[in-house]
Amino acid sequence: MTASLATVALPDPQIDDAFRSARHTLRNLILLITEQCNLRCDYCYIRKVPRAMSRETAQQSVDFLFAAAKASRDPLSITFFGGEPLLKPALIEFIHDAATRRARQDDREISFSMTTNATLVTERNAEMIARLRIGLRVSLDGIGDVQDRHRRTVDGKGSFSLIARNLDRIARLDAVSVRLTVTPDTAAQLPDSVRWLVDRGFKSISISPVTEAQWTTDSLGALLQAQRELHALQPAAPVHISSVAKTSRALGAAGPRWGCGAARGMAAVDAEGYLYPCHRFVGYFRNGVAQRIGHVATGFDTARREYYIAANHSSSRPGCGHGLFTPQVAREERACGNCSLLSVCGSNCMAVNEHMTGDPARPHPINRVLAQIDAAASLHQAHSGHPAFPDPCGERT
Amino acid sequence: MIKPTTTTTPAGNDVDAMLSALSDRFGGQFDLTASQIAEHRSHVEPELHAACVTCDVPKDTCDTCDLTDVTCSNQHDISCITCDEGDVCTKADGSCNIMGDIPCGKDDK
Repeated sequence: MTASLATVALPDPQIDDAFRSARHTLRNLILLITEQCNLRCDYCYIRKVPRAMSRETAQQSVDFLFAAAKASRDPLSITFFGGEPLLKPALIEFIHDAATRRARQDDREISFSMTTNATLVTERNAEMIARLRIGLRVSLDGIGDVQDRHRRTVDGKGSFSLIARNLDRIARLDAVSVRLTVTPDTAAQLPDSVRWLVDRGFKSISISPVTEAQWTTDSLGALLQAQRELHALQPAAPVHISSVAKTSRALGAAGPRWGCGAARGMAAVDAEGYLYPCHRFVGYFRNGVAQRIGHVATGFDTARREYYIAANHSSSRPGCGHGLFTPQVAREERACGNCSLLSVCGSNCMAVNEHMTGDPARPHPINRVLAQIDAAASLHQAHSGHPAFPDPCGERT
Repeated sequence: MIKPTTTTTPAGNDVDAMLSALSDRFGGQFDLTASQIAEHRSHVEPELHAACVTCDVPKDTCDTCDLTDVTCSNQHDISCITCDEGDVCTKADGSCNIMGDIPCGKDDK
């Protein structure tokens, strides 16, 4: 066990049992089938190297998923990730064929999804995506110059023209969602980008601010205004805008005990077959031995997997030091698990936590500000007129 | 340049100052208290107050959820708290990715 593996304090024995590897059955495997990409987005956490998964490793990954999932009959899923996975369409077909044959053999349900930058959704690739019934997540920044600012080609040109020619084709596919990455200098244009996507026929849009970006008060203010605009837009828009749609509901619950499925129902495989809690760990910690939780040829490293399972649980997270608590919460109990913003907080992402603070269980305090922006935009919209939520008087000058 | 290295923190990292500046500038548009969130919980969606975040069934009546919220087999009326997919979301067990990088695996949207 490395020094890093020793940093998570295990809670009481009852909860400790929940961290046992045997309690968590793998359901979703994210395959980084190539670590190469035709874009060089300046905030991307994946380092671009000319390395692709071999067919042998791909087959081992499929075999590993079915072996690791043997304890349950739950549906399985494989996510094609990169780099840009559409640089390797033949490998996608190979993996799909191997996994569907194995699913038939084992009488299991399996589905497929892929994250793409949209530049390579040609007629031929679109036909493959439709034929193989691959759910698509299109990762964009926004319209025109917003897209070109950070999402550039290898030779430094903007990529908007490359995606614009494919978007009508993409919108016609059955299972498509768009993920809009938001940076400090694109936050103000977020509503325009969402409206543009709605006009193009996209019905599912998620919004993801880059937590580790250089946020300032001005850019955070722009994000707040954009979120308020989107929350006002949502009720009438023929589109599901996550996180807008989920925020009010998420805040209605006490908050998740688990941050996400990383290391639990989910794992990622890099091009060489090493297992990580999720795809972000592959990128942030390329060649990071401490973040590996096994290999598809040999299976999970139980101790390392359990370390991340424990870190994933809200009871393991000490908090960012700036949480939002009711007066009843004693000072020594002001950890993530008692924070009112937990359900909408980026502190639930272990990969970003470890990237920013060196500890997967310890979130950076910027999460508090981003979470409050999300929550305030949602709740003040939802409770307009309620005495507990006095009407905002607008931006003060 | 946005890409940081490990343990990098954003510039203007004084979160208290950021919160204060945003409050000064936006007032009620930004200000939010834990009491207001508690009010939201009690008035807007009271059924969620003590519900399992996985299956929405109140904890005291759900006999399939355990402490971890992951072994619930209730596949009815589930709305995943993470991805907000409906009652057929295959990732309602919590395997959704919180940052939204990857799509839900279900293919019948």
